[in-house]
Amino acid sequence: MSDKETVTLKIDGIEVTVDKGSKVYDAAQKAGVYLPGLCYDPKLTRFGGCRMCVVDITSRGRTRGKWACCEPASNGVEVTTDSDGIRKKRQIMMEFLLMYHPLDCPTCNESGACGLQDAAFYIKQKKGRAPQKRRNEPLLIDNPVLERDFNKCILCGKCVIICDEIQGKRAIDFQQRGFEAEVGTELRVPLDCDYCGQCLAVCPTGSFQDHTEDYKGHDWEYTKTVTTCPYCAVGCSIVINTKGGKIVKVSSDDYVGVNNGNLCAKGRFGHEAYQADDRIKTPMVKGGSGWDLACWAPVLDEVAEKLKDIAEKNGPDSIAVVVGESLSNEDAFMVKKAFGEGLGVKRIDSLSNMRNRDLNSGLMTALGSSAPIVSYDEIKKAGAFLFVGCDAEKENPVIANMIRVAMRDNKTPLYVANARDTLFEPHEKLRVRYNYGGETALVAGIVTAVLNAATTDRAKELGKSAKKISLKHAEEYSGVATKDIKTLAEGLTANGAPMIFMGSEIFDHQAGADIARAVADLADVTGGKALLYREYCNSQGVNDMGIGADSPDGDLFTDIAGGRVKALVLAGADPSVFARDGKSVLDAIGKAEYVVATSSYMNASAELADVVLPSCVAVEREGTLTNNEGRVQQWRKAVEPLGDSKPDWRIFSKLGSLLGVDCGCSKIDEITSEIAQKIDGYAEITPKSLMWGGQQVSYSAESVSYQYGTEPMEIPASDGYTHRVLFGNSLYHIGSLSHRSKALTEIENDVMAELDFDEAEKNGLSEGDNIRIESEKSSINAVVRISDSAVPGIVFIPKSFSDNPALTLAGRADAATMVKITKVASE
Amino acid sequence: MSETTTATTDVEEKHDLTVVRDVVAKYRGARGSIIPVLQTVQTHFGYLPMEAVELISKSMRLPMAQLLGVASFYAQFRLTPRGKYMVKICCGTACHVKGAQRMVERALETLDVEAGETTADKVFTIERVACIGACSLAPVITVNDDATGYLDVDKFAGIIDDLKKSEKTGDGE
Repeated sequence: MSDKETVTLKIDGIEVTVDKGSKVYDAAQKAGVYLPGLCYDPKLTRFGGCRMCVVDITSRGRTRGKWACCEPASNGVEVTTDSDGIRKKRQIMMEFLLMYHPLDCPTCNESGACGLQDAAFYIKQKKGRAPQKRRNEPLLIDNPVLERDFNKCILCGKCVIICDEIQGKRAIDFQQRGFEAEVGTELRVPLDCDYCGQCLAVCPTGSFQDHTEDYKGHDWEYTKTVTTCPYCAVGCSIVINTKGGKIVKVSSDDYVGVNNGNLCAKGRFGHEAYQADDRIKTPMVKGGSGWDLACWAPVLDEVAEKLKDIAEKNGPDSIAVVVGESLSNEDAFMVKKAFGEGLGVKRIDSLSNMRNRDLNSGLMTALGSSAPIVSYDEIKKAGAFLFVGCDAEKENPVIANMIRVAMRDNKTPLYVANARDTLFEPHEKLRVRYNYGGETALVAGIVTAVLNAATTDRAKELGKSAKKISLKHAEEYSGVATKDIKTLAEGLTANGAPMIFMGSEIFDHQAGADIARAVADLADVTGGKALLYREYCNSQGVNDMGIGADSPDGDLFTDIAGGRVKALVLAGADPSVFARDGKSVLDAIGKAEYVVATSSYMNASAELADVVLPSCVAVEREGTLTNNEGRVQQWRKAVEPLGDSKPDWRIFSKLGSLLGVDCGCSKIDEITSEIAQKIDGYAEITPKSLMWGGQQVSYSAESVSYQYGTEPMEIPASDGYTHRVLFGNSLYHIGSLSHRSKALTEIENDVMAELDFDEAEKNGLSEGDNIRIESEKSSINAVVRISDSAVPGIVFIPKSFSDNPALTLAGRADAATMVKITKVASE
Repeated sequence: MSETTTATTDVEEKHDLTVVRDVVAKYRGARGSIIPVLQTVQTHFGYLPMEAVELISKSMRLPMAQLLGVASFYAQFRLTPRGKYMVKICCGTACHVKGAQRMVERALETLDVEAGETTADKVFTIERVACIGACSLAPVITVNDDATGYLDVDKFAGIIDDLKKSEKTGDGE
């Protein structure tokens, strides 16, 4: 479909021009004419079930009744949306619906936001002629987030379609027939799905209800604030609904932000974390007998004095700052300014950078910036998709939604290369599994195959000189057959520019930088784009602010333990969970002379601090953050800060002033403007430019390397340790925030270690068994999940659980983490 | 859904699922194959055992909700085991006028089941069906695939009794 083709038609005499392929319904919406439509959603395949949007369409002198949601808009037709005849048709349909649908509006959560209410109101439907025949089924609550009221369902099918097309699950479908027909799971087994709540978002009635909202109010009572989701790096827009200063629920808006109304379980149901009871509300200073509550001014004075003192005595290198990746750009910028300019501190770093410093530098040399220059819009245009070391559905679920939409609309082929057998629904074209350590060889092999075939312009230009590896070696190192490598190369170049996604397997991979460079080359040679799935909501931005850029080599925690670093500032970071070898990290922090932590919640690292300063959560503050695609978006304040908590940028600008830096910032906009002046790529980013949907950063030009080692990584043999660990994030938990959400912890509260079925059976393990996972460094408890994507010899462990932090298993510089698994008796 | 395996679901009896594997292999990748696959499986087992549907779901990568949505929509699919004799009593207009309802009542009474259910000994399944297209024989029933017409309550009870007797003496069908 070409981009610019449009058609012009008249809706009730109003002339309107829409893109070709739009439906009459879209044209009516554009013309500002309301049409009752219960089963129509522009982002879903049309269903045409409710018949409510019937209109008269006059074309070539003939007038016919048509459904506006199914009829393509075409040139020159005239549409009448309201007449006696049309109204009568709609009234009949509405009579049928209200014969079945209970009129429980006074006690319905949906009341006021209900599509059926609006339509009935528009049609002015009064009592119908037929006797009412209603189902009388109790509310079904079989999962932590979604309530089902079968009585209210009008069978519009939107939930079934979104679950299938966009979520790829089809966990619910039409069941039974006739009066018994209902939308639900097979035989009403408890819902077992992604709990994304997409069904809830599209439901026009109260048939799906948000269990976390729990009847706290009606839609018209809520204050709605659009902000950016603080969980992962997609950067979805969420709508925070508040009543009386309390967050009631999160809803989505199809017309705001990058996500087209799609959200995952964390974004939609993880809101209970924001105002959780265990938030830190006041500054705390460690006294003789525990924590003493304190006031801001004296505490900040004390912190500044102490840090100045340490810097004077031991030099600026004796102070280190760790910055959390869920802080805003302003926070990170202000941290760097306060400590960098105030005390000359160089070691200002983030935990993921410390875990894999090469990755960011690798991206820098490969792309000329630490972020691939790519926009989510490219997903719609891509000729093929390739996943390298990423589990799209779990890591950035909403990008997976975008990919599925592209696969639906354009039949874009999808290829998966992973150490595990990760699934992607709907079906991938080819799934290959490489040997751990052979990723670069595989990607370089695909580059070779593309160069050999020389079907792309860039491949012709480069010639075979750019080859890094022969196909024979690629097969040998990666374990992927030459035939499959060729298929991948062919598939990626057949339909135009492909898009390549890198994910969490790369983060903790020693050769991550090489893989990233190879992927960048593959993107270059195929004329495509590469996107790295970042982990946290502002991983990209924190990086861009120069966090980690001036950090000296050498391990921070070794230096603390060795006495070279005396003072540690933890700005929203918890190394006890998110650094490797957490046990030794905690020992080191315990040895530091002075530790200051800013945090919203107490954690194991903050427990060891001398001063803990309460920082606001995302929904209580303003700021900007940069997502996966380099789009800078805003956090907007939806509720007042809890207790005495303050945003980090304010804490650090005050501290900076006390350290003698001219912070001079009382408003966040001033910092945003300062970032625009000082940070590469952010020049165009102004508070005003961010008002609507954010703006993409323009990084400097890309440069491609074709330089990296393709030899497979050596994995030292370790006796008795049987499984290699892949660290990642579960669909429901990321960072420390999600663990404070009641709904998300009810969905998943244990570390679910994913194992292969046959292998588990051989070792006498089955789904739900309690196990102990042991490495040379430490051990954690977990629960077995038998997964279709698991492969023998590899165990996937989510890493964000603070009770059983998986990263404690990993040695700081281990190429691979090897563990043994033993079954433990359940209590 | 696709994530956790469903291999260890408890079902009353373990079935030999070879037929399921065969039919899945035959239709793999073909669009619109749910109904023929389910039909083949049902012809083999007499109904759709849940473990068979789960195997179809896993190997064809079709969600359970979709498969059972189809299975529960069409009257031809059964999710519970059927008896040796499937007795379908026509309740179409002509048969209804000629007293089909009384036959249904008698059957349910003597066999102590509800319509659509199977007797505890797995010998009879009684179903009310809409018109089977033999109105000239009204009231009519089918036992498995054989139709018998011009019935009344007593004749009908006789047929059931005969079947019962032959079952007891082991004469079979």
